[in-house]
Amino acid sequence: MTAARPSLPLSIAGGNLLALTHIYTATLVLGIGALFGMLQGFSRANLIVMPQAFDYYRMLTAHGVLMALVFTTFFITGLFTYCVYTTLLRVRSTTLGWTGYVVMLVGTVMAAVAILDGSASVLYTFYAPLKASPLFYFGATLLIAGTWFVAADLFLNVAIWKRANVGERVPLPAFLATCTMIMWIIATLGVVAEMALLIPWSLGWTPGIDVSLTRMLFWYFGHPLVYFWIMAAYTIWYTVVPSTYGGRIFSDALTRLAFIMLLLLSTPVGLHHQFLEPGIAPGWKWLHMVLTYGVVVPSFMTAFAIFASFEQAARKAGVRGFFQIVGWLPWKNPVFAGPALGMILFVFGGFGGIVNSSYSMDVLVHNTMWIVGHFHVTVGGPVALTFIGATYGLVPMLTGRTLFAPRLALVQVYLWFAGMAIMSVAMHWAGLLGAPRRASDVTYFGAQGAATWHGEMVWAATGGAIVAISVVLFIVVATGTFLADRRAVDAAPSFAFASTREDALATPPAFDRLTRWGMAAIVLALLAYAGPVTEQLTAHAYLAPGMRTW
Amino acid sequence: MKIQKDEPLPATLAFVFTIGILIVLGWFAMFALLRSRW
Amino acid sequence: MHIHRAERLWLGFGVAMLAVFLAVITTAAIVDGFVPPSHVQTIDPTKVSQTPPFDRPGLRRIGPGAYEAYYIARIFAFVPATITVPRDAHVTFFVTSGDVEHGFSIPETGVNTMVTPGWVSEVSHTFSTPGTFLLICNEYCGSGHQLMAAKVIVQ
Repeated sequence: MTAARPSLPLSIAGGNLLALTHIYTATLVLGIGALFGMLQGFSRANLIVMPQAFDYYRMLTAHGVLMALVFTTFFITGLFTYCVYTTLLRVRSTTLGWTGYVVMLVGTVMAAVAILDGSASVLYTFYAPLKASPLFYFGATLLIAGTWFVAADLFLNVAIWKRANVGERVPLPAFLATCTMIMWIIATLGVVAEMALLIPWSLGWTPGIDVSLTRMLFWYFGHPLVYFWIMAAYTIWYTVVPSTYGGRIFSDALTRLAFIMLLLLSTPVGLHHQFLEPGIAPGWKWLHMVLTYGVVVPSFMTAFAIFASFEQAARKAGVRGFFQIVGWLPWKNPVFAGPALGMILFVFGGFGGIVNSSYSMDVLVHNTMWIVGHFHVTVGGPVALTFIGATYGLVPMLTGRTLFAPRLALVQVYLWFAGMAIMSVAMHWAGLLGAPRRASDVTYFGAQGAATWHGEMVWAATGGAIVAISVVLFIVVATGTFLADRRAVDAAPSFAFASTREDALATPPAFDRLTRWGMAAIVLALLAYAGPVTEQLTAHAYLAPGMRTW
Repeated sequence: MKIQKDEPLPATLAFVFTIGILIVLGWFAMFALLRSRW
Repeated sequence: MHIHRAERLWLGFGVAMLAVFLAVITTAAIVDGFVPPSHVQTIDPTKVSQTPPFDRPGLRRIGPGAYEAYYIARIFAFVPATITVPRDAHVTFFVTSGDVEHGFSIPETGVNTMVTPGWVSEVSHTFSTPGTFLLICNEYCGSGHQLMAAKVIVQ
C-alpha cells in the first residue's frame, strides 16, 4: 500500500494475502482449463485426435472439474473473503480462512491427480455406475469441506460485527457474500450426501449403489452450484461496477431482496436437470419447472437495477438516451468492460435458461450442444468475464502494484467476449440440429444425420481458439502484475464498493435475518424434494456395481 | 417517512422490455419447433 | 419498501410472461400429451436379455400403423442396430440399459430420453418423413461413447 495511506491492522493485511491467494489459484486453474477446452474443440472439429495417454474424456473431465468446480469456487471464496474482511474491518485471525484454503487446495490436487492418471474419466458430473478411484471422490469432498471452513470464517466475522453494531444493516457486500455462502452450504449438503454413498462404494465396502438416487442428489446440488457462481457475479455487478462510472447502487433493499429470493429458490429446482429421466413422475418435474420460473424473477430485478444504476449516473452527468448512455459508460476500463460484456452474453444465457426449464421443451435440447452453448454463454461468459474484470481490479488493490499492460487487459476481455460469442452461437445452433454433447467426435461414420454438424464444430473450435488466446493474455497480465512489482503511487482504487443513493429509503431489518431466510430455504428445498426422493427410496431400484468403461 | 419520487428511467425500461420481447419471441419460436418435431 | 414505478411495470410484465409460458406448456401437456419421458417401471439390468419384452429386442407391429420397438442400450451399441418402419408409422420405443447411463435420441425429432440402469424408458414418435434417421447415445458412457449409434429407416 502507498505511504500516504494509514497502515492497516495486520489482520486486514493477512486477509488481503488470503484473498489474493484464492484469486491467483483461480487464475492459474482458468488458464489450464481453457487450454484443455480449446483442444476439445479441435477434437470435435476433427482437426486433432487426442492420444491414448491423454484421451478426450480424461481431458473433458479435467476441463469440467477445473472450470465448474475449481476455478469458480476459488475465485468466489477469495472474493467473498475480501468482501467480508474489507467491509466489516474484521478483528478475528485469518487461521480459519487459511485452513479453508489449504483443505480446498489439497482436495483439488487429489482430484486432479486421479483425473490426470486416468482413473476418474467420469466427467464433472461423475454419474454412477461409472466408478472413479476413491482418491477422486475424497478429493472432491475435501474441496467442498474446505469451502465450509471459509463459510464458517465469514459467518463468525458477521456474527461478531452484528453484536458490536446492533440495529445496523450488515454492509451490503458482506451481506451478499454471507447470503450466497448460506445458499452454498444448503446446496452442498446434497453432494456430500451423495459422496457418503459413493465413497464406500468406490472403496468396495458396499456392493451396489442406487443410480437414480445419486443422480437426484447430484442435481439437488448441481443447480444451486450455478447460482453460487451467479450470485458472486451479481455481487460484483451490484456493488462494484457502479464505482467504475461514479455511480451508486440503485436500491440497497432490492439488492438484498433479490439475493434472498435467490437463496430461497436456487435449490428446490434441481429436477429441471432430470426432465428426461425415467423413474421420476412428471408431476414432480412440473413442480420444479414452476419453481425454476420463480428463480428467474430475481434476475429480472437484477437486469433492471443494473441498467437503472447506469441511467441514473448518466443523467447526473447530463447524458440521456439509451445509446448515449451505453456509449458514455467506461468501456475502456477492463474492470467495467469484463462484467458489462458478460451482461450482454447473459441476455442469451437467460433466454436459453428459460427454454431449458420449460419441461417438455427440454426434449429439443437435452444433452445436445445447445446445453453446452448455454453453459458457456453463462459461466463462460458473464461469470468468467466478471471474475476476470474483477481480478484486474482486485490484484492491484491487494498488492499495491499497478496493473501490468492495461491495454492488453482490455484487448483480452474483448477477445474473450468475441470468442465466447462465436463459440456459443455455433454450439446452440449445432444443438438444435441435434449434435450431441460429451462426444470426442460427432461424425458417426459419415452418417447422413450427422452431416450438418461438422461446420458448426469448426466454428465452435474457432471461437474456442480465440478464447484460448485470450486466456493466455489474461495469464500474462495477471502474472506480469505480480512479477513486474511496480508500486502504485496515489492511484485511485481500482476495485471499490459503491454506496447507495442518499435518498434511498432504509432497508427493512427483516432482510438481515439471514438465519431465518436460511431456514426457510432449507424447508423449501425439503418440500420440493420430499416427494421425488421418497419416490426413489421406495422404488427398490437396482443397486449397481461400479463400472469402468474407459 | 419520505415519499419516494420516481425519477424517469426511460432507457432502463427500453432495455428490459427489449430483452423481454426477445425472450417472448424466442420462446414461442422454440415452442413452434417443439410442435413440429414432437 | 418502495419499488420504482418503472420496475413494477417491468416485473409485472416479466411475471406475466412467465405465467403465459407456464400456461402454454401446461396446456400442451394436458391436451396434446407434451410430457417429457417419465415412464416408471423398474427392471434388473443384469437380467435384461431374459426379461420380456427385451428378450426379443426389435420392432413389433401392434396394430395398423402402430409399432413398439424394444431396445437394449449397452456399451457401445444399441440392439437392434437398425429398424425399418413404413411412413407415418407411430412407434413407441421402450429402452433399457444393460450397464451404465445412456441417452437415446433421434436428432431433429422429439425422441430424446435418458436410459438409466434399473429403469425402462418410454418415448414415442410418428415418423411422417421418409429417410434414414440417426439414433445416438447422447450421454457419456465411456471411451466408445462417440461410436454408439443406430439407424431408423422410414420407407
